[in-house]
Amino acid sequence: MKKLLQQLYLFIQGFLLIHLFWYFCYLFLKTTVIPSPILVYQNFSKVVESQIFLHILYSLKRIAVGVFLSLLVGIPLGILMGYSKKANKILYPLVYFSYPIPKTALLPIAMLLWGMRDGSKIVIIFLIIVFQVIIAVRDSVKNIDSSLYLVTISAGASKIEIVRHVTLPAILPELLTSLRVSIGTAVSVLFFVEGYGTRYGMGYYIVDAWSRIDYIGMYQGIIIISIVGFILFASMDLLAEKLCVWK
Amino acid sequence: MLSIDCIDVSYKNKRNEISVLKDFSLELSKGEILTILGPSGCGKSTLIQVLSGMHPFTNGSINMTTNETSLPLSTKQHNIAVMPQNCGLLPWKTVRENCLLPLKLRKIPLDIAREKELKELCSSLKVEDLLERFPKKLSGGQVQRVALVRAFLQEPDLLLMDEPFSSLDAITKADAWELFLKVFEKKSPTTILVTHSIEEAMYLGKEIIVLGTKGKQLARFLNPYFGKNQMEEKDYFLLKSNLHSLLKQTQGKE
Repeated sequence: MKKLLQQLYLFIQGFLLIHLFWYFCYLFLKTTVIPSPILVYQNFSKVVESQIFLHILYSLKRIAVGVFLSLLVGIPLGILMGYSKKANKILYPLVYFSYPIPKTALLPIAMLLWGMRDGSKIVIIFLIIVFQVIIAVRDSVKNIDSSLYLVTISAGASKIEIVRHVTLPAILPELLTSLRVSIGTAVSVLFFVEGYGTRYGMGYYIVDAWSRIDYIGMYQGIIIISIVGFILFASMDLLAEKLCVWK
Repeated sequence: MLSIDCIDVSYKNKRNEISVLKDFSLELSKGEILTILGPSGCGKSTLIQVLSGMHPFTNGSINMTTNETSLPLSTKQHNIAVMPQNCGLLPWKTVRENCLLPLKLRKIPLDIAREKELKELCSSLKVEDLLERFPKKLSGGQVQRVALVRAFLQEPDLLLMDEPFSSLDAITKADAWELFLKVFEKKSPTTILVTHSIEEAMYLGKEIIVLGTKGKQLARFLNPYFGKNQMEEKDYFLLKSNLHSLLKQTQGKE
C-alpha cells in the first residue's frame, strides 16, 4: 500500500511537471501544433464519445498476445540456455546479434510475411519483448545458488519438480523487471504498428487525429496512451510485489 | 550401513579431466556420525556431492543397507538429507514450507504425527516462532537451526553436512553444535559431516577421518572427545595439535 501511494505521488509529481512544461511551450511558442493543455482537457468528453475504450481494448489485446507468446517462447529458451552450455553456445550468438536490431525496422518484413492485420503487429511486439525475456531468464538461471539443487535433488526431486520449486521462483523477479521495461517499449511502438491495417487501437487513434490535423484529438490520444502505459507499468510493479513477497 | 567401495571421481574442464577422489573407500555403521577433516581441495565437498546424487562417480560402488536390504545408494531408493554450507533454504519459501519440502518431494503426507514432529523439532531447535518468516528475515544462527529442522524432519537414512556451521560466530556456533547433538542423540541418522575446523570435528564426530590429496585417508580413529569440550585437558590439546600438524603437512604437499 505504501509503495502504491509512493507511485501515485510520483505520478502526480511527473504529471504536474510535464503539464507545466507543456503550458510554457504553449505560451511561448504560440503555434497550433502545441495547443493549450486547458483546451485539450476541456474537450476530453469527445474522447469518450469516440469509442476510446474500444481503442484501448484493441491495443491491450495486441500487447497481451505479444507478451503471452514472448513468455511461451522466451522462458523455455532462457531456461535451456541457462542450463545447457551447448544450447547457450548455439543460441547466444543469435540472441546477441538480434538483440540490438531496432525491431520497428523489421516492420516491412513482418507486414509482408504476416499481413497488414494483427499478425504483423503482434510479431513486432513479440520481437521487442522476447529477447529481453530470454536474457533475463538465462541470467537468472545461471545465478541460482547450486546449494538449492543439492538440497532438492538429494530429497528426490524430479526435473519437473526442480523447475517448479527452484527454477521458476528464482527467475520470477528478473522476469517481471524485464517485462515491465519491455511492455513500456511495446506501448510506445503501438504508434507505428497501429498506424496501418486497422481502425482500432490507441496508435491508430493518434495517427488518425494527426492526419486530420485535429491536434487536440492527437494530444488527447497521447494522454490516453501515456496513462495506459503508466497503469501497465504500475501493474507490473504491484504484480512483482504480490508474487515476490520474499524479496 | 553405508559402504563406499573403491570409487573414482573426477571433474572435466575444457582440456582435461581432474581426478578428485581416487580409489576411495569408506564404511560407516548405521546411526554413527563421522567427521571428515581435510584441507581445501581434498575432495570432502565432492564426496558430499557424489553421495547426494549431484555428481557421478566412475568405478567402484556405493551401497546403503537399510532394513537389512543392501541397495546401491540413490536419491529415489534412499532418504538423503543434505545441509550445505549456506544451508540451502529456498528464499521464496517460508520456514515452514522449507521444512516440509523434502516430505512433499517424497510424497509423504503431512499427518498429525508429522505435524507433531515438526512442532517438537522446532521447539527443540528454538525456531517455533519463525515458521511463517522467509529466510531473508532470519539471522545466520536461525538459518542453521531451520536447516537442521528440515534435515531431521526428513528422518533421513543418510544425513550429509558440508561445513554447515562455518559461517557462524564462535558463540552461535557452540550453541548450534549443542542443539545439533541434542537432536542427533534422539534421531541418530547415519551422518557424514565434512569440515576444516579441528574443534568442530572433535566435538561432533564419533569417528574422525583425515583426508589428504585425492581423498587419500591419512588417519581414521574413534574420537574420545565426542560431545565434550575439554580444551584444558592435556590429551585433548595433544590430539588437536597432532591433527593440526597432519593437516599442515597435507597442505604443504599440495
